[in-house]
Amino acid sequence: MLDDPDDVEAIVPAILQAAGPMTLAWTWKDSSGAFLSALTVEDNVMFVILSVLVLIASMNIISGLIMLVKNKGRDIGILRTMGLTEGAVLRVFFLCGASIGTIGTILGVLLGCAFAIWIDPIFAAVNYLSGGGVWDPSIRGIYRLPAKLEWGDVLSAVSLSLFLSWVVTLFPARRAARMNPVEALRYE
Amino acid sequence: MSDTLRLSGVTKTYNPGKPTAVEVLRGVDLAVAPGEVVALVAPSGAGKSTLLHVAGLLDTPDAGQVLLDGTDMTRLSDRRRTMARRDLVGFVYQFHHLLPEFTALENVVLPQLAHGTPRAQAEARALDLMDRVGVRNRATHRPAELSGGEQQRVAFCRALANAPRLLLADEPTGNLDPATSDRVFDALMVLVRSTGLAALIATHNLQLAARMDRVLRLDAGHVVPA
Ligand SMILES: Nc1ncnc2c1ncn2[C@@H]1O[C@H](COP(=O)(O)OP(=O)(O)O)[C@@H](O)[C@H]1O
Ligand SMILES: [Mg+2]
Repeated sequence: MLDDPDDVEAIVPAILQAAGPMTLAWTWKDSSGAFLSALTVEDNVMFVILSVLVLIASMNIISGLIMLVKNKGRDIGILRTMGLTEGAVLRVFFLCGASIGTIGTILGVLLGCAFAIWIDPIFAAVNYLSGGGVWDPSIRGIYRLPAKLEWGDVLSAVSLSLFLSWVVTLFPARRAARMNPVEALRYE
Repeated sequence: MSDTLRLSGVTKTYNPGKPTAVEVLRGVDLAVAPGEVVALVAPSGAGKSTLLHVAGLLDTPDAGQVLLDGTDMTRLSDRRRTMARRDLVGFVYQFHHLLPEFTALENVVLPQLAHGTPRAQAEARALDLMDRVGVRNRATHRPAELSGGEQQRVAFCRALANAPRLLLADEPTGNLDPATSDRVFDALMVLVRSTGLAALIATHNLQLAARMDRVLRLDAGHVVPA
């Protein structure tokens, strides 16, 4: 017997071997193929949707930074006249945006993991607050929401949001660095 | 000994080739010797700011040369010019342009940190400079908590924080009432004389100009002795 039904393919060759020729292996995965592929599609689509959400959040970082760069035009100008290089100004604004992205990612991971781990109590709390009846187990025969924390999922979510927020930050940061200090300091 | 600042044949035109072209500098020649304080007088719009920006390596001339301490800076990369500006030039503007989030002391310390000076040493120098112009007791105030004259004095200290060779001041007292303007200008001269650096000070105040070593006039894009 297998501990994990997902590993069924691993023993198929052994069974075929033992049963000799003229045998056909028909696993549970073959019999519910359509259902399984639907689950896979759902998995992928979910990832795309969540990526779009991360992208939208990154756009918020961009717009916030662009406003910041606009507001700080004079200060950037004065820093440049003091002798800060373009690279130094770029680093200032990159650090600003990247730290927003990083703090956001850390908070997101903590919240997301907490949610997955304590899904049942959270669910019960929601049920209690809304006066019950959110989910009636007797209808569908599902008594608890299965939530499994996969480190692979966490890793891909973290790398996606870190990557997007850092890359996106480069554009406004470069804009700040390229700013002409003379233009920024004109006052007439 | 070579001049601290030398401009030769500097021209600058804004929006060249367009109907809106403005020919601001048409062949400027000038030299400022070490320790010399030179006034640059001209009415508003004559191109004083443009000239100072070119001299301070913030802007590039269309033609001609800018020499700082005898070195031609005209064709250097932006990075090299930024480094030269950091080490050799201090700027003062009509408005103080202090960073509003930092205290007066931090504003004077900042350029020194950019230069690589250790923090304790930078603070000691900042306090010493601020002492000389009478704003040491305002060290922990934010710019918004200072009067116009005090803000400008702190801005002088910031300009001199890295011990530059040349000070470029663009109407440094243009924004102050006459009495304050006089006292702030005195403070500036105290700093300049005690550090022995060269200064080119743009102003349209002829009284102030008369107190400097030499007066130059910017006329129709040329610099002429007044
Ligand atoms: N970026 C620019 N584009 C077009 N014209 C400019 C620009 N900067 C300055 N000028 C023009 O150049 C002239 C000189 O300006 P400026 O150097 O600021 O004079 P000042 O400091 O003596 O008042 C003005 O007529 C101004 O309109
Ligand atoms: Mg001007």
